[in-house]
Amino acid sequence: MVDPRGNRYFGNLGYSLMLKEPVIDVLSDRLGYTLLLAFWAVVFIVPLSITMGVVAGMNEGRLIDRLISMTAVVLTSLPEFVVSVGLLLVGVAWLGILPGTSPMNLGSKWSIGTQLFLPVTVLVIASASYVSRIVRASVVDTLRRPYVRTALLKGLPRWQITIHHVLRNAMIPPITVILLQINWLLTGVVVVEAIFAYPGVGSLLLQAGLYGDIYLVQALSLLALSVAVGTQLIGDLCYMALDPKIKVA
Amino acid sequence: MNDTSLLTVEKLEISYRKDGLLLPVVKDFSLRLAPSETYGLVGESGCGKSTVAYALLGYLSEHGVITDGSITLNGTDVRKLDHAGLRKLRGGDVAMVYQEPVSALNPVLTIGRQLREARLAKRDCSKADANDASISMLKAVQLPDPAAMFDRYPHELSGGQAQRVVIAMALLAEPKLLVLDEPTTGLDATVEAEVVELIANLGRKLGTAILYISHNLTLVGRICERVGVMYSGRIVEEAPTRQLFQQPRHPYTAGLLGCRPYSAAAGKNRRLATIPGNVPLPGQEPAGCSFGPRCQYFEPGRCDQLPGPILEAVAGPTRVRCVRRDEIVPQTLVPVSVAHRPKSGSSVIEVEALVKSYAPRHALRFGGKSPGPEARNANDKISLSVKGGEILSIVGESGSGKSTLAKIAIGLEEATSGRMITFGQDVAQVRARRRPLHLLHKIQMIFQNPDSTLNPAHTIGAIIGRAVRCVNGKQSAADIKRHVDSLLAAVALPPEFRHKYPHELSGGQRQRVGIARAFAGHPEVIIADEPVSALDVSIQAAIVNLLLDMQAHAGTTFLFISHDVALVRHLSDRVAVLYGGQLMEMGTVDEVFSPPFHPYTARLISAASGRAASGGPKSEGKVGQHASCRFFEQCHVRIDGLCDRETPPRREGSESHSVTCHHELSELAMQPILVSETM
Amino acid sequence: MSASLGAADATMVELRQNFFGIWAAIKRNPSATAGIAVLLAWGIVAILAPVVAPYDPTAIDFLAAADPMPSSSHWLGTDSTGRDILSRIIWGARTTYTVVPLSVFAAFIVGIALGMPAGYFGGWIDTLVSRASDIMLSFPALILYIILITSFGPSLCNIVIAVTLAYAPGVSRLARAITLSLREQDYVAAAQVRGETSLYIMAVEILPNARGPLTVDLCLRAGYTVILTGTLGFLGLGLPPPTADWGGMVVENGHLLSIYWHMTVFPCLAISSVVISCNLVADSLRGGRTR
Repeated sequence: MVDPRGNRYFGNLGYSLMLKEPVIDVLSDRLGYTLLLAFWAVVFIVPLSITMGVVAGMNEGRLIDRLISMTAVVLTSLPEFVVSVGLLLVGVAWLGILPGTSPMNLGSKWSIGTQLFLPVTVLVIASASYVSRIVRASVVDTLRRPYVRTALLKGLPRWQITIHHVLRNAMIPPITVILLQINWLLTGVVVVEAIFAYPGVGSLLLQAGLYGDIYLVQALSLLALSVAVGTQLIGDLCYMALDPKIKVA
Repeated sequence: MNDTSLLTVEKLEISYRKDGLLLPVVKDFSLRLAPSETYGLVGESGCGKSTVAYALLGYLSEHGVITDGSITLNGTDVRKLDHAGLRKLRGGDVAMVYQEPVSALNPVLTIGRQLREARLAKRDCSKADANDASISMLKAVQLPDPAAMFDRYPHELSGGQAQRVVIAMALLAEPKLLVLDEPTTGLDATVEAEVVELIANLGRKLGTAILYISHNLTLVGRICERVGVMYSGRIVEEAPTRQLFQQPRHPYTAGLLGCRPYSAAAGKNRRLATIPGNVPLPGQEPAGCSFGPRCQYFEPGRCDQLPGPILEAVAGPTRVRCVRRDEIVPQTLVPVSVAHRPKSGSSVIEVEALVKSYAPRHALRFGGKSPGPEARNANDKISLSVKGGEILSIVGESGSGKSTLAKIAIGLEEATSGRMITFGQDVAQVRARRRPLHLLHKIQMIFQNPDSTLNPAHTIGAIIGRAVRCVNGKQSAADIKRHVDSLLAAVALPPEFRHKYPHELSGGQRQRVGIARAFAGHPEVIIADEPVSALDVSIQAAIVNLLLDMQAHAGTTFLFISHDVALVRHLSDRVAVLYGGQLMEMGTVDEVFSPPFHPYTARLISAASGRAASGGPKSEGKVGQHASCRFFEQCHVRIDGLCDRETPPRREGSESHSVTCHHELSELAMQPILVSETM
Repeated sequence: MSASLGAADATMVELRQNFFGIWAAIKRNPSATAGIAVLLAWGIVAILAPVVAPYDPTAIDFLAAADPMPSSSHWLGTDSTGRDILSRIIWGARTTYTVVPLSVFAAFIVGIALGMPAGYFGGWIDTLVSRASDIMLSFPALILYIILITSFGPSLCNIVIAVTLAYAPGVSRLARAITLSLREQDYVAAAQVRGETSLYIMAVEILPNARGPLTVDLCLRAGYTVILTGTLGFLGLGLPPPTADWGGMVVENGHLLSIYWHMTVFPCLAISSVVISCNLVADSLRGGRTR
């Protein structure tokens, strides 16, 4: 983890002399790493969870659905630190092909890519399993709607029904959940960052909290709230674009 | 006949899988339909008529299986079709129109897009051609401004408009057979009449064969050449429409015809003929004829023998499924006459200039079309009085404010202004929570929806018992039990029902419990909000009779809220007609249902017999907001420049009769009224 | 595809079953039965901890620490100070089964007590409760804990308070939504017009009908709480050592993962089994659908 002396240095600064500037400096520094981690996580979470959810939902009750659903239930049930322990055991202790920590050191013998691999994987497992369940439920729900029956009884080709009638509608409810995941990726990745000594906002928060650095905690809370407001706004815009029923009057 | 038939169904049997068993829901179903013929399939809920409709399109839910028989449509065996074949069949040879049209349209695609898709799926043409065809079809279904409609989304349409769009969509593929499954259920009566007329006209014009499925005999009689009556999965009678109405040959058909409130009998005999009992659930049918236990011509040893009766011809094209078909000529059941009713007394509820307006919502809001700043009046200066012991009906369509009025009376809503004096106390702005208990217990309510009127978490005994305890104060458990039993007996339910939960009861039985609960404290006024509209026809009659008996017995005042003009005419002493929150006409039954009419009353009466008023604007225009007469936009005798500017005067026809209109009563008396001959 | 369509009435049937036979729904689903069995087994272990645990969970034994791997005397091995892993897991079950039910029930009582009146009365009560829970919910839960626990210290009481504060807004939102739809039911109107008190209506007419969705939510939240208390323990914010705490065991021994995997893996399995069981039960109750 981070050198306790550095920690005290920043903490003291926040406390006494030039509290404002260093807090911003620290934040911008850490935020960069957090954005990097969140970016790669989202790149995998969204397509993966949508594919899994749609495949399971379209095949409700069949073997493939039961496999995907069961896997998703089990994976959402695993705490992040359990997944991390499992992956560390396989990738680091047994195979020795991955680094145990990810301090994002350019000088280390591990490349930045290998350092990112485990944290991103843990985040993807934790989040995609949950999102895919939401997507599946939404697809199943949409398939039962009368307008899908209408499309079917109009004699439309199957791909057209799937894309225009099922997916177009089924993708609306999961937006909220996907945005909540982004919210979490930007401010709530405390456990994973702590385990892998990743220099992001989450581990900073934990250190700040444990240290009692009230200004840093305050700044981080502010960040969390603005991210929450921001994703909410993006969510509203997405709904407006996708759902013709919603228009600002 | 055989060679020319478009659709041939032979001995079809459809079953549903339940708990590993196959329960047949459609049995021995045979049907022949010639090209461009119109055929009506009538039956109560659960008789299997919708299942048949979906089977024709090769579409059953995952639990349904065709276990026997064949469906041949336009020369192809539907049961043998694969995915590609079914796709060709659907929309090509046969198209369907559903109930609840709004949910049948995809909410995120424009109307035009969905119409074009239907055309392109069946026809090799360019997008532009498909667009043109769609717009002309929108014109054909008489939607106003088709080009603008093309770019709208489904939520911007009213129910009637959405149904016209669904019909247009079905017709775009130029199908040979159009299946309509309860296409007007849930629409207002005047809109329903217009949609039915549209379907009949289009069918005639395009030469499309029509299979019209409905629970409403009157409507089916309006458009179909032949009618099949289904009971418990089987056709029990099939006959040309006129014959079926004039001389039903199956006791069930006769019963169904007798259950309808006959306007002709109004005022003479208020009770309705009933069919006793309930439709058997799939898997619980009796041996032999499944109608047997409810049939007045039942003969033990013949009607309950296996195999059950088969559908056989009597008198020309009429076919009947009855063992005694040659012995009996079922009579339309004669209702038992009603007990002597007390005469109306002095007024118990006095409504004076009652206004209920809903404030517009916040400036930034989601959904809805016009965020107009003005408030919407659900009740607009309504004045009327309810006399002790009478049955006053308030009739109107959705949005007329009839339920709002009832809710203010009972204390579930509060009025914006005006007075409502019940038993000497103004309660217009007093919610139930703040009303004195003795006043609350004088007025009770019977609710519309049998699914929500009883708390699913409590037993029937607990539900009625609580009502008894609430109004009668402290009592011993034994007293309460006795009281509950007597109430159950009064609504003709066995005492064992005390231990049942609401979900174990049928809709009609739940409604009976609701009635027992309302009568628990011997209230002086009962408000019944559409108490039978969610029930099957044959059950409706029994509940109406029960209400009338209990009313006569206890001398309770009745405020009956309904959209059903025929029923209102049947049972009321006096009638108030509401439209858009305004009182349009008020008077005794005879006065309201004979000229002079308010133009809106005239339209309601003709719609009740399945007729759309000829000419004039469509019934789904906007309810006037600025207009002084709310009916202005849709009125066929409106006077521009007067009706939309000034409040119409209340014209007194007699001491009890009044019409609110700018026209003189003598002018209103000249209006033509369309009444179907089948009434 | 057509096989999965057109079964709208199946939904109704399912709802009704949820309603009247929570047990029946569980019994029909083998994975839910397994979940219940696992939860019950852990419950028995937690109650009988002093009897079934072979060692004192806090007893340090350097002799055993010399060879911590699983053996006949220590079935699951010991940790680096020689404490028996099996005994610590058994006592850890007791910790979990104290903290989780306490905090989840507290969250439900507070959430229902706030959400039902908000939904039933509407108006300013609703505005107040809804806005407050919106604000709480937009704040990442973990930050809330870190702030709460670092300011007030890690004790059983504070952990329960923290979980209650974090979950009560979600529960109140659910209770409000259910109340909002149920208060439109005719049987509620019937109760109002015969003069029942608002408290009676909420408690007797509405609450019993909300138990289906609330039970599902309870199971889910119990699962999350297990994760959460584990995570707090893992972050060093759980019950202070040497209390046996599954999350704490993972972090205490995490640095030895590559050599002594058993010290970490067994507590991980214990936590996972409880959470998976909670989720399986919740899933079966809502008919395999996520909402």
